[in-house]
Amino acid sequence: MKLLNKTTLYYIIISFIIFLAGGLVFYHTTRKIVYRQLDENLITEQQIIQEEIDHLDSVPDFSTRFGHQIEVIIYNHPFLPSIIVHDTIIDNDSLFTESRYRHLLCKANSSKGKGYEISIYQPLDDTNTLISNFVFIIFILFIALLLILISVNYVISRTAWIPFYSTLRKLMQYDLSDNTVLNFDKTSISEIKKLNSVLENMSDKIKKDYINLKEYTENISHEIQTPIAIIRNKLELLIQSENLENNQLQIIESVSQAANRLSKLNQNLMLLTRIENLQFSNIESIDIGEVIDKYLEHFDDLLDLKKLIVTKEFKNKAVVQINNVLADTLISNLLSNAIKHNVEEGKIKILLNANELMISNSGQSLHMKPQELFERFKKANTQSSSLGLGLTIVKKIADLYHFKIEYVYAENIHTLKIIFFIQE
Amino acid sequence: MKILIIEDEKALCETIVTYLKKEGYLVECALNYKKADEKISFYEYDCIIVDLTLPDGNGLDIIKQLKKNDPQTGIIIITAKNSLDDKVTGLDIGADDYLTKPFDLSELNARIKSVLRRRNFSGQKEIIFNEIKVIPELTQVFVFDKELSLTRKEYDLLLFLISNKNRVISKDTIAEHLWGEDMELADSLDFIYTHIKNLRKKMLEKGGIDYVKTVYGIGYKFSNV
Repeated sequence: MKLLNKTTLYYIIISFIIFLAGGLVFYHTTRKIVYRQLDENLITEQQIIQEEIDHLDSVPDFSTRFGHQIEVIIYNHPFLPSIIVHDTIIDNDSLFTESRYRHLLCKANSSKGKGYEISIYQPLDDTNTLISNFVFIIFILFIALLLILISVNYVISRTAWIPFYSTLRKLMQYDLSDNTVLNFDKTSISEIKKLNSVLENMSDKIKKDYINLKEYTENISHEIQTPIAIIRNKLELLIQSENLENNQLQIIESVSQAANRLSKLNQNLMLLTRIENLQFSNIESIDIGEVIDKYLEHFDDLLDLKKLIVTKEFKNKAVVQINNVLADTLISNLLSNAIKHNVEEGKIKILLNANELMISNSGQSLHMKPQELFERFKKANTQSSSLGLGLTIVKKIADLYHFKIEYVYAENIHTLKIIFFIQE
Repeated sequence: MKILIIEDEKALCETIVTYLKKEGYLVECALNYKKADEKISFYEYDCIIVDLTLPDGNGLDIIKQLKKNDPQTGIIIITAKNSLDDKVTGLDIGADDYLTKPFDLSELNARIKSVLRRRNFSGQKEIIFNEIKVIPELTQVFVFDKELSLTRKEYDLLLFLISNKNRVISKDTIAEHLWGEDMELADSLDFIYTHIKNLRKKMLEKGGIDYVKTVYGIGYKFSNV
């Protein structure tokens, strides 16, 4: 969720709660005030009526006075004087409706010792309507206020967060392996200034470490080549000796295999580094079909010896802008992979379109996650003498040229698909 | 045959010298640019093997110098720098072949032979080993003057074995020679066995002798019985 949306949502929730509580308090307070006023009026009326009754000693006609219903009942016995004001509901028989009234019931005694009851009914419907109207207006006001607040907040936040989003965008686009420096836009907001300077320092440090590490690996792999060459060549000299026993030869062979493995490993790692360092900058138009044919011929004996059946379908000519060494590496890795992981008398199917290359081969089922396939030193079979770098190199080359690479496994058929994204 | 090796790593240089001396070549070693420059201006060589990265100069300069003074000399570049640019430049200015470190001595030996053959120093266009005759220009092989029909890989293998006759060649070396560096096939060693078997069979069919000896655990050796 975007920061702006989140704050806005909080605004809305908090405003809503406050409004609800405030609204209730407001409603009750208003009601109380209105009722107090009503009650005061009723008591004043009652006093006037009482005075008149006392004065006249009869019941005057109140029906046209004060504008609401007044009932006076005179009894022949005295009362204990009391005044009660309460809400009451009266059925209107003729209209089949109910109406709420404020009812004042006063019991008093006249000077002649007769008791009487005064009931004054103040209809409440109008008052209630008034209160609801009032609350409704306040509600509308609140909504308007809320909308204005949110939109103002939205606009302000948007402008205030501009430097932050620019920093974020720069960070997202930043690539360590690129030779670009992280430069943030100038801003007057001190928090963002601080953030930017911290990020700049951090990225500088990371970049330095990265370069150091890269140089270290490069130097190591470069310097290691000569000692490996010496080991391998001395071993070659050694096996030429006349009087070696079988077990000695075995030992030499093991050492020699280990040295060969080390040197191949080193070469592949150097190749990866050189791809990363963009040292294959020379790009040509390469016909992928031709490269495939070249390597099929190169590996023809291996295909024969493993009795593999190759079906090849070149639907369109695929001409790709790529470095020729990397094109060779890509295709030879893919093909040798399809041969290596195949079974005796298995199949290899090559399908080439203008935009994509699909190589599928029969083989054992995969015991690892497909996404791990492209990681360094991940091998399907830990016993095998393969280095586990072949597909990593394929992936690196694909990444370099923004090719999309997909792996699918179904019913003992492994399929690798490379999409070149050539504009028609 | 006189060969000069220009390589700053002393141990490597000595190993190459030892190996090549067994082939009957006259081999000299130059450990730096200055020494190499001296040697090529005083003496003539049939082939030089030059490392491009020298402590006091660039091997490419030596190649240029050599092309000017002794254009007949065969040149093989060796370098630790597995870089394409150098390879192209090296071959452009007239080097005959290119090897990256680390390489096998038998591979170097085969390359030297091929360079010398192409430059026609030995005065012969065919390689003869007893009853076997190889004509590299036509990629043809004869046993008792009867032509052998070999696959391309079998031919490569035979030529490699003859070039390194009387030497033990490990299976790894053969695999790398046949399928190149990109190849890391676990079972390629079985494939070599199959190739050797077929080669033997074809030569025996034409009445030849089986010169390929299996060296237990290591590889093969092509030599007189």
